[in-house]
Amino acid sequence: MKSKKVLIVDDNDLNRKLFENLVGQLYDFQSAQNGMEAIELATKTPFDLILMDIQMPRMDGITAMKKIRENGLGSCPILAVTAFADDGDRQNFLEQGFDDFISKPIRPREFILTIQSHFKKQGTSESTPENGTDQKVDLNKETLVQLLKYNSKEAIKKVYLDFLKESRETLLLLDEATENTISSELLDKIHTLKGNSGTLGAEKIYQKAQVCETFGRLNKTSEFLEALNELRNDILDFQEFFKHETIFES
Amino acid sequence: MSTEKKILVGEDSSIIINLTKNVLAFENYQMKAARNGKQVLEMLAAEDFDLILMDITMPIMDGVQCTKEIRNLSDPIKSKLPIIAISGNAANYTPEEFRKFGFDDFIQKPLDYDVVLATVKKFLS
Repeated sequence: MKSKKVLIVDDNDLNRKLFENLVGQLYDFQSAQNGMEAIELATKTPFDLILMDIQMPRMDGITAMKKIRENGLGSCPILAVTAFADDGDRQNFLEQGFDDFISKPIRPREFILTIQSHFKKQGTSESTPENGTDQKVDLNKETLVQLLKYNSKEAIKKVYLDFLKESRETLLLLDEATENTISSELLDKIHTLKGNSGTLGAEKIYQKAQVCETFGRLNKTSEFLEALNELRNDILDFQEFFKHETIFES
Repeated sequence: MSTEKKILVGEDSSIIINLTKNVLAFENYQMKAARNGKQVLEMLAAEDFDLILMDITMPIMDGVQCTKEIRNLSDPIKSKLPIIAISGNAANYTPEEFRKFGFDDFIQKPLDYDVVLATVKKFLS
């Protein structure tokens, strides 16, 4: 049974459909195409969370959010979902009164995890968000559970072992990286590592690989090498972690 | 008994290929894998498929170029197959750009397999 109800507000059909697909797997939802519609729906139904596009015809997302707050239509989290993306924008949205911010184009899992994190905050009184977000676990259990839905434990274990093998091979390449060379071969390996670690829920590796790739493509050598070092440690950590992970033993 | 739908996956990571194969098999989809865009074209020439999942970043020929070539094929069925982009750098492309490239839809990496299946089903049911 779906216990939470989400309001999706976006004027772009494609975005709305994408959000509906994602949200609909876990929660009930209703959709609105602009701020006016959002307010009308919020008047009729209490929502647990609202995803609000910013630029929309008839009424933009910031105005709609403020009206919903002013009229006491919802004390629920309202998240800005927008293509404005830099840190200044983020700060601005939070100051305006949004609870959080998701940048477009969205990444499906992060999108869902962000929504879930707000429901978790609602559920627990003693939560410490500062520590909670910093302490990234090695293996995202939700990802694993999802993978186990479609794969046998044995098959999944093999995939993780393949991933570790590939990571070790990438490590060898990382060791060869020197001050002056950010080879495209290395960047491609990191790119693959990023995709695979993300899909497998190896969160730390994923995040570090993302940072590495970004600096690498921008040719920022010193930042790249620093991130590379951390990536190396995260791969070793994950190896160690996996050795002691008992979830695959039946 | 309905005939099994056949999906061609263009993807250079064997880890993703293995995972995706299991996930698609879960819904009784048959899957074959090509490691780069050139191989996708070769396999598509030799066999019929119902849908293509296409990684953007691949060696030899990337997913954007490969999709362009498929859309230019003379075969009226093969040139119009649903092609879903799998993209790790989606931040670089807007939905409109994916459409302009000839993709019918797109999925972002890291893959969320609920989304993968839902998207595939949308085109094959």
